[in-house]
Amino acid sequence: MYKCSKESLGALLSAINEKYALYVPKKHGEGSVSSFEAYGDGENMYLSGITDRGIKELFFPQCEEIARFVTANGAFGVKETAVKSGYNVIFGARACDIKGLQTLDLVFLAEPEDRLYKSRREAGIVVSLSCGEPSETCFCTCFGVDPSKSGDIAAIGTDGAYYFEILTEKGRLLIPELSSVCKTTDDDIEAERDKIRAKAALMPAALAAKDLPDKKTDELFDLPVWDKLSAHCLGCGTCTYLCPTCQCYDIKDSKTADGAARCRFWDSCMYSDFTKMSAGQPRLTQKERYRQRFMHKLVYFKENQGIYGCVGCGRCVRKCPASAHMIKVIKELGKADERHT
Amino acid sequence: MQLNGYKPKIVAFCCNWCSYAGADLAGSSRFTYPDNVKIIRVPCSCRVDPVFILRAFGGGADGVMICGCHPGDCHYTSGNYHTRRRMKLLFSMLDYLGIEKERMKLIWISASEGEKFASAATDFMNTVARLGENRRLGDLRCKSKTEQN
Amino acid sequence: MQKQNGTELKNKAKQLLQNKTVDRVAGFCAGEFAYDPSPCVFYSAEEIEENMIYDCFCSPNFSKFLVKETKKPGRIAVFMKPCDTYSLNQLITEHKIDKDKIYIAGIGCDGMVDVFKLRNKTGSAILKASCDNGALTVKTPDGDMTFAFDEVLAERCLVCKSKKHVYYDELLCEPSFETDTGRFDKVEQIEKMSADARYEFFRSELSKCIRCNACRDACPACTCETCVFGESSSGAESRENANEFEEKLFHIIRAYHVAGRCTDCGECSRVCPQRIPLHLLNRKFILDINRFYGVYQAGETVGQIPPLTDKNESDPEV
Repeated sequence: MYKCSKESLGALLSAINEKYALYVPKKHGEGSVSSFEAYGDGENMYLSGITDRGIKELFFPQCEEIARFVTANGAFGVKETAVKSGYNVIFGARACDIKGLQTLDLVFLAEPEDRLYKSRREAGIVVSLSCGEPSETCFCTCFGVDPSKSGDIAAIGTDGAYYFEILTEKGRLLIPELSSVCKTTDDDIEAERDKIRAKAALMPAALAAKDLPDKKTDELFDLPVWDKLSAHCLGCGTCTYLCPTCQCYDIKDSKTADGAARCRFWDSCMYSDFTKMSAGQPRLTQKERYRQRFMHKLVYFKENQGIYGCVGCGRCVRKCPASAHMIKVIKELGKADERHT
Repeated sequence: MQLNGYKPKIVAFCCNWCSYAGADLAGSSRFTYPDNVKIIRVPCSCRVDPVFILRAFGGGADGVMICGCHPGDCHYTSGNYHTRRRMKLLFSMLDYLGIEKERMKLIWISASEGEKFASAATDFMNTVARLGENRRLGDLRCKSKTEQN
Repeated sequence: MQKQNGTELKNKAKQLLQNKTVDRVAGFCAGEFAYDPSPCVFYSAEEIEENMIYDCFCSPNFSKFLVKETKKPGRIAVFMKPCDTYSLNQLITEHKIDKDKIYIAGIGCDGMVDVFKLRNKTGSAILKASCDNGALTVKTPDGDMTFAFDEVLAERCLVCKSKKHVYYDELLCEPSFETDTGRFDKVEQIEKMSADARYEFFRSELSKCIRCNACRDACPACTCETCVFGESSSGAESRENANEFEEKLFHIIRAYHVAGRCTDCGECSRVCPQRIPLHLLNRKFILDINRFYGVYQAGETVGQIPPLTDKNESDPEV
């Protein structure tokens, strides 16, 4: 375990930034949203809460070019986007977002492996930061997330210091930087961690969502409550695009000066044209689309992969323009549990 | 037509009933106009949706001109009056977003004004050439060649 | 300090159901938190008694919901704040809402709280919140905090254009007036900046866009069955925000499609998860229309001809 004073965090991050591409949470003034950006000069760091945008986009960007088609001198060629080499470091990630990455791994790293995602995942050294200031919308503890310890290296902020515990082999790569600024220590910080865990578990959202639906598809699919829940869903993609576990994308080719570029970009199951095919449209109403999203997170994903497809970050809860959010769904499906038993 | 070796791309939307015939007349009367003005024929200038203009810029155009019948002469009575309002607002918005409004032009050209078409196209071409390449409202992928390695 | 309190609305809602004026009432259901009421439709007095609330967080504009609701049989009562009635008038003008199927009760409004702003101010979890006497009191884990209403009001409320209901069947508050709070000031300020500064300002704002389409979906003026942004043959479909061009295309066209019909209700900016000041584009169109074609407020009366479907021989040249 390493320990540094709060004041020397800047020195540590600068040392890491010398060697690696470093991303940290930033917020530019009161009116702006917070997201992960390149460290740069270290200005505008935002470490006091969960960011509006998560770390997903560092591994699975909203839009990325996957190949180019080129015609030159009468010949046609395909050029796959090259994978970047070298490690990069993400500092200040929250445990919920890191759990989100593990959820994405189940999709992108299963056969056939996603080349670009895999390369970013292998190159990314994730330093988590303990979540001492949970929001009322946080319910990560419901999904077994430990808000005090996660990632390749777990950082925890106490009153006067930061502690760093290396959790994985990849995390060891940062030992030189940690040693240059921090001291090694045997301090016991388990009590600090327990405080963080207890605080998170007491958030209103965590209390509201503690009874997750544990029912099969058949028991929940036709519940009349879906009509009520989805009645005022606008059909926008806010929840999907801010979600740390949503992984649907679409692919499109665009013209370039000498051929075409193939891009993949996030898509949302909330959109009316998401499932549009030449044969027709399987999900015709917003109710069906809404149900798909929440059933996928809470039921299908669990049935197929063994874990819930939600990590309890609470972004959809905070940002849904119609407040038709996850907590309301979990509570209603929980009530459905009662009705069935 | 070029300026310092730079040859801008111009898209001209021409109304079928007037300026398209005007451009035709420019040709048959041997009035020269720049060969990098690409004409797209539309049934009326008010057929030009703002999306068309933005897409033209996106696809690599450096300037876009919309040519219609003189006010009062619209084949469909009032199409060009609508064009005038729409373009006034659109150009003003693009200017507001910091995009050079000289890259867009609405001009009235009748079927008998071949010479006017040629001179308007040449003038517009010169204006755009002075502004240089459109970097502010374009899909830059359409400008750059794929790196070869 | 809501001019209308929840109990008053509940009683009115129950009365309208009981005397059969309407078959159902649209209002807000309490949410899970202090600030997330959901729009709901109530069919019985019991439901109203149990779930209906109204406070300074009930900001969604109800007019767009009525497009769908009025397709159903029966008459629906809706409580509307002044700005909502402008959007409603516009939708009635466009034949999207059947007047005979609605019953509008106008309610007074002193503005709605912007939860993002509030969150910035509290800096910690919002456990409870209540608005009272021009102030908002918030319970947080670090203790109670009180804010003057002006500190936490949504931008659209700080520059409220009108406290006058332009459509109602019944008014539950004192009739009020249009207000002039300088909603175009920011637009005029941007216009005075250099082209480079304007370009940089909008580039940085629009590049935040994540293409969630919430601005479109919440907009009461966006009621097309199939939107150009969702239709591959339109030439505007561009969910792939590969570069700045696609972002500009989306936002210019979004604002353009509602130009002349936008009542400046501010829903677009309210719902934007990225806090892009989208109203600056809409207000630019409104201001330009006022300058070039005479002052026009969309939704002021039913049956107005929107400036972009209108024309005049003496219009200024481009």
